[in-house]
Amino acid sequence: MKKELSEQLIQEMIQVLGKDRVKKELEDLICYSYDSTNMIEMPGVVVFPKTTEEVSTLLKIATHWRVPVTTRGGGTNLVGGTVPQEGSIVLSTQLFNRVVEVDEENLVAVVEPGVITRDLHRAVEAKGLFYPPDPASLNMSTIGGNVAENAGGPRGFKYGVTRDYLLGLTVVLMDGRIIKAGGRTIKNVSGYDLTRFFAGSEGTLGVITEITVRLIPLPEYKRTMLVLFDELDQAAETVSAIIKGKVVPTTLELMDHEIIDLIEQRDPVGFPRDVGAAMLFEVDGGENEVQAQIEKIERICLKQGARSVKLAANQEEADNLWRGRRNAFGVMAQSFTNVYPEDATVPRSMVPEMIKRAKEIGKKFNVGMLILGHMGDGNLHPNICINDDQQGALERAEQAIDALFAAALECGGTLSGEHGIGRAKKKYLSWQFDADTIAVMKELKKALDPYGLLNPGKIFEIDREEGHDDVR
Amino acid sequence: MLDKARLYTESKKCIRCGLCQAVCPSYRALRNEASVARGRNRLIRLLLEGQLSMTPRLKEDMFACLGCEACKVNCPAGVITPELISALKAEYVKKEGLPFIQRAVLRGVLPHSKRFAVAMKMFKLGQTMKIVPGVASKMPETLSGRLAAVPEILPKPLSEELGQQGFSEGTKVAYFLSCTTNFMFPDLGWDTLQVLEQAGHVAAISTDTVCCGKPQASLGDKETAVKMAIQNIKALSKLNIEAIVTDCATCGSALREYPHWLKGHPLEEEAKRIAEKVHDISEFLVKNGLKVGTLPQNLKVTYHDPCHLNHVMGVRSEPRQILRALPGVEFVESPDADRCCGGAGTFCLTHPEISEKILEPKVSSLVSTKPDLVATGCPMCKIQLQYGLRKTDVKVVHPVQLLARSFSEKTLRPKHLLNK
Repeated sequence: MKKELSEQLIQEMIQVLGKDRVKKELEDLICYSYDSTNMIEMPGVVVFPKTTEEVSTLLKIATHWRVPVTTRGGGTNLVGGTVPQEGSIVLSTQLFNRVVEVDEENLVAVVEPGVITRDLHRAVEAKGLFYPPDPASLNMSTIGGNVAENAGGPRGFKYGVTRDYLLGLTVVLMDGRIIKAGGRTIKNVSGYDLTRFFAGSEGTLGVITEITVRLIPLPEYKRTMLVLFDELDQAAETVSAIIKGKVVPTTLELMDHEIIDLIEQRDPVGFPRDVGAAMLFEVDGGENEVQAQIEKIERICLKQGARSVKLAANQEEADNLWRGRRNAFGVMAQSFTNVYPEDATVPRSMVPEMIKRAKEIGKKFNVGMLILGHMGDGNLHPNICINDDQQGALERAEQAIDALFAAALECGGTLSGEHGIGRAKKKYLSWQFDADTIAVMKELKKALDPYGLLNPGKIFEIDREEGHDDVR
Repeated sequence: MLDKARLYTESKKCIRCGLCQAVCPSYRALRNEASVARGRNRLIRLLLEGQLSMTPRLKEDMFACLGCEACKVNCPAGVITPELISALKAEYVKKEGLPFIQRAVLRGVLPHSKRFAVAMKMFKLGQTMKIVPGVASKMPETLSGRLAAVPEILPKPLSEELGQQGFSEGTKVAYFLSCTTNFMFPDLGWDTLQVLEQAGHVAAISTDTVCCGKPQASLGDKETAVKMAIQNIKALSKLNIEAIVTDCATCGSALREYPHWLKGHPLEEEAKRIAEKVHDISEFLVKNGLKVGTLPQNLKVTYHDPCHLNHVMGVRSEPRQILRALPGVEFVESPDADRCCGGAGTFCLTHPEISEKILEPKVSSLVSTKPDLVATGCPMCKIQLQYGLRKTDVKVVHPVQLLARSFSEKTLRPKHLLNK
């Protein structure tokens, strides 16, 4: 769909937001044409609303003109979820970014969608409270984006994901109606659970304009442990043993030999380069509880044949270890032209099997298959790494990704644990769900967005109804 | 000449992860994708591909970069975005020239020590005749307010008080005098010389050097910047010294960058030799045996990381080590100590609104530690922070000045230096 946006539509939007918040110079369009994938489409205009009412009016205008709208926070999506349809509207939440309140009496925070996740963390932690979801992008991504993608993160094992902290949402529907889902109580069974329905909807059902989250007290203590294994298999088996042992560390991160080697080549933190795998544990809670967990984890790891178990002596040492983990993506990006960070997730007992299969797939298609992952929740990050100057590398990468998803589903898992389907994984959706299930999803979508204008081309394709109306 | 092939290869390295958003001061202030390395990089790439032209709008996006280099240091793919932006700024200046005032100052005054001194004298005259406050009151506060950090009556420049100075046989350290230190904060220079002497280093000031060239480079006047780099390299390479020390983060970073500025120039190798000898004063002292005096100071001090010191020179722990070592000084770390203050040399004058937006959270973080003093290793950050703190009693100082106070209550002028 290559078409110029009508000047009248632009004028109507300027009337709502003023010139400064309606941007359509080529430079603006270029800067809002991508996310963290390599997909690119130029929008026709970028708008920056700051209130729910403004969003409502904008969506009415877009519906009248039948122009698609893609909502965008930090633009760090990994599946093309924030890449707009060519010539359409990008609705940026970047300026819609206040922390409205942190309520210490009810352990609740209310925020606007453009708040950067880390800023919410800091606002609540300053009051001794805790908002656990911690996607790797938390320094850039927004809460609105986190809700729309139902973002996870390393702490998911113990604390769950974004969805688990949502109490209420204000959502603007494509026809401009403003709805309030949920509320600010912990228990709430009035009517359908619309709050969770919007979590992970990838911007296809409505524009989220206010978010009420549940908070918990900030844990008193946390400690970090580094466990080294000679073989990757041993580490994978240890994940199962930890879960069977009924220990729940805050995070349980695994890095394979190849990643450790790259980290030590590029930006060393002192991991031995000859290990088969390393696992980073973080445990938190009361002092005694933390101590008991540390002992238990150590016992299990050693029993599984760990080469060494080391407790970080202080925060500095812990930070250094986590720096290694955080740099993992960076060192891959420096070493390969293309890195596809996948997030196939399997039932936890299948983690060892899935790791084994992923490595085999890497070998079979002759692509780098570097494995990281949050593991404790079965959330693997196999990273397919290639250099695109090699003959046929892109094709081989695509075949490897296909094989990877097939394997994840065979292991009883899911296509995506936390990145979403977006554009990148659309073709696999029918591998995971039967026709009726997908049909129900599409019916729900159609009920809220009959013209298919909200973030089209994401999750699945739908037939768009043509026609005219007057919703304004 | 724009080395297009190289710039293009560099711009293509961006993997669009967006990590630069987390550290970019202009992005945090504006929350717009055109104001962060990822966006700017993409724009440069499309410009080089011919899909975009050198529009005034693109120019705005490039000049709204503060040159703090945080993106470069934090980029997983190692993209040298600040260099790409500098190259494009220079291209704009080559094509369109400089605005009148910038041309006058950057080319007419800063490169010429004598003219610079005359200009500062005129400013001082304006201060004594009370013209400056009158004029200042008519300027927007964002401009006039920055005068708050400047002494009410400018002191005698260090270079003038010292006179022409020779390098004697035993002199192993050249003190590169920054313009700001010389004209606005000469006591900082005297304190730097004192702490060097206390630590047993025979130092002398290189009086033949001129402005480091960074103000020109950051405003896109690459041509003048290179000229000044050449002049400084020639002056410094004449000296038989082991180290070049500076108390200005910006000068230090410029001297370190000379080899890049002079890529392909006959002096490139000499520039490399010079760059290797350049040290920030805190770093130099800590590496070469820090000596601390005994006078206690009952002060609570926090520290602000100047971007050029942190991101370009890699100096973070040394100033803190000095502060922690001082008798009676309680050092407190402030949140986001490494976040830009928004000063960035002339940026606060060319982009006052963005600068204010960056400064505001910085000041709150500093104030949250309830300090008596804020220490920072850059005279330009000092001006910006003192402006930000104008409604408080908190003063901004250079860490070596606190070190000097552990030896003597007041700034001393070493007699043997003055006698020369």
